[in-house]
Amino acid sequence: MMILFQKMKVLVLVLILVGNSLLQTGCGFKDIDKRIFVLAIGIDQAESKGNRYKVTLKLALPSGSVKQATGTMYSYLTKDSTKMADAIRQLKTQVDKEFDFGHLKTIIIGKELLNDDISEITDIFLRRRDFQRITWVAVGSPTAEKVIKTEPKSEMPASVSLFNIFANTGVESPYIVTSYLFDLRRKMKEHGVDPILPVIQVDKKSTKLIVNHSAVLSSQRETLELTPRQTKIYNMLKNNLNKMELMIKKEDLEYIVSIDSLKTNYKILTSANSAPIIKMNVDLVGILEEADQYINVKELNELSNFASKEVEKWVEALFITFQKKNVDPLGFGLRYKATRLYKEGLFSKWEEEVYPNLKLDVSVNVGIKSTGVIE
Amino acid sequence: MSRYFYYITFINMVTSMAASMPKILLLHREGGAIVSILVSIPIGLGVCYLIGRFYQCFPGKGLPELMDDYIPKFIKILFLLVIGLVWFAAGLLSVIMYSFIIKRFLSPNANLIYIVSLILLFIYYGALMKSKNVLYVLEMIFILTVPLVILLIVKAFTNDYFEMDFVKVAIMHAQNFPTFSTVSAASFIFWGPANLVIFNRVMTKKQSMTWKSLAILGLFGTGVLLTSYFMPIGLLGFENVGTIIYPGITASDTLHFQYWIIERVVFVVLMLLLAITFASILTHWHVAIEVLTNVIYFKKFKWKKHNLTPHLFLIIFWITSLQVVTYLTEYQLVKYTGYFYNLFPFLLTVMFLLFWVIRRRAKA
Repeated sequence: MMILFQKMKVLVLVLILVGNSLLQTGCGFKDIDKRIFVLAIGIDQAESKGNRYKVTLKLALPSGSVKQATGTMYSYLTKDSTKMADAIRQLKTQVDKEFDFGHLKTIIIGKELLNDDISEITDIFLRRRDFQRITWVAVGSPTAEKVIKTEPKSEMPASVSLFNIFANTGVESPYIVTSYLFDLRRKMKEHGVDPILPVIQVDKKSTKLIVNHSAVLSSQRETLELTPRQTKIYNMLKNNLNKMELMIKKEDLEYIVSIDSLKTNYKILTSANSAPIIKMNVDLVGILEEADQYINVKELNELSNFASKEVEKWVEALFITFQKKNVDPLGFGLRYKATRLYKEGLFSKWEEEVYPNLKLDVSVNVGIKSTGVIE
Repeated sequence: MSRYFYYITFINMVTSMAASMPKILLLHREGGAIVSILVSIPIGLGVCYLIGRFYQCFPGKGLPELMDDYIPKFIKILFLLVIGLVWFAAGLLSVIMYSFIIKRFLSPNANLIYIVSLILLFIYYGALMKSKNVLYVLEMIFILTVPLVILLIVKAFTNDYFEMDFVKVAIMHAQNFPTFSTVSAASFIFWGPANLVIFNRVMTKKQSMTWKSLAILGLFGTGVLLTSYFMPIGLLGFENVGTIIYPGITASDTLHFQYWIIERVVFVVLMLLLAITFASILTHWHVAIEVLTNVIYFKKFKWKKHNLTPHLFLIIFWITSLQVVTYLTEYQLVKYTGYFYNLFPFLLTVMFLLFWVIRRRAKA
């Protein structure tokens, strides 16, 4: 009897486990062919009156295998509404499948909406659990819809351009700023650092996506757009880069230095009797990549020094732009808070007294180590 | 000490990382959270040392047996009832916490009742096991999960988006005085050895609590506290982190595996959490059942030579869980867990008083 019971015990356990797996399918699970995957979402200013947002979804149409597919296949849906969730609900009535946002990896915000409240736009993505916090956020120019609907020639099945731009697995460029959703959120909430987003532009024929600008959002809702060079300098100062290049023009000599090691650090010094100052050190090491003249090894030092001076000018110009517009994408204010013991009014002092009067003391050391394969 | 002593303690520590402890500390990030962490480490280690020292004098004996010998019966029954209820509540809070997390992140369409029942089905079987087998389960879960947890923590701290400036801003708030509730929340992670109330029965060999064991506990505990406080701050931002309901899990959603089958780390974390929370609920409810059956035992409540009293308790536990889970909200859960943490210093004081009496009478 006892032995029988012990044998039964295992059987009962197995039955419970198997029975449970049958129940599992009942909890809202839908097969993959009943789902449609949203790859990107674009948000624009609504065109119709009474609505606020125009939501565009980029949907992936699945094909049997990558080999069979003749090209990329996408479908697009657009809807105007006052709220994002409402637009998505309404779009649901236009398809026969369930939207799956688990693969949504890019959120494009139309340029016109930048002066709107971004935290309201991103709210749904942060509030709902199925949106990844590692979604990239970018600005679409001229509109998000155009960016979403562009299908570049180089796009292949299962390799979405909008993802490749930002994941460092594809293209790597010093002109691309990447901003994850969680990064955007923490910068929006924190005093002392302003969010920065990449700007994706579409060419006139809608065949190319160009990413080399960026936009700094400020609390005054005035967006500052950075030029490609400013974007590159921003990335350099933020230590986001592994490599970059510098194009320097010295009288009639023009040369390009390819930098493969870069490091920036800075300190904010404040004392009672002198003006606040940022001491910044930028170390750049690299080799010559291109020059339009013969270059002797002995000249390298001189070229390095000249390049250093040039970069110093660029950094200073960028800093003054930030200061004038009262934006702080590099997080100087955060660093100020991080190095001073907290007390009431510390940050308002930074905003009112320190940042407007801050002087930048930057020293750039460009080290050109070689002229490359030829002199 | 026996390695099982460490498993009990460490599992309790790692579970606390996913429970309301980080949330409570992060709510006080502009108050005395950092000092609380620093204060709680010596307090916690002191408690671990005292508990370890006490039980090493009585190898193979649990607290119920010791109280039988040296303490009046009335006090014994009262104290064990309290212990049983508190340990039940500890398990209950974990059950609810984890069901909420599953409901929020894994399967939002599933019914809460169903989720809880599914967890409890396995706990039901587990809690009735022999104490020794419970320890074996703990060992297995510990070995399988904790190395992965440590890897993920390293991944979080070495992530490019881990911003040291946020952490430094948090440290700049260190001058504030701690509050009672933050200290008791932070030191809760060290209360694992209290499970020896029952598990000391299995530790029949002579144990010795040395400075080495304390150093291991201290190292692990400090790591757990610093991680659960600073990791969410560094990843989610100092001011933003207060708006997040589950800081640890949302922080893990900011990480991703670039070259792996699963991209979102959060799902791996949830799986690991399931295993660890299971171990924690198992230990707590095993202790609760053992303690309660020691006090209340129906000798005639039998079915084929098998006494059903533990089953009765487990069914009561089950029904209570189902009732509570539908009633509580996430915010109330954090609040009540805070109350629960606050209860522990008093409970431990009474426990140490008893320890003192028992040791004096045992010597005499």
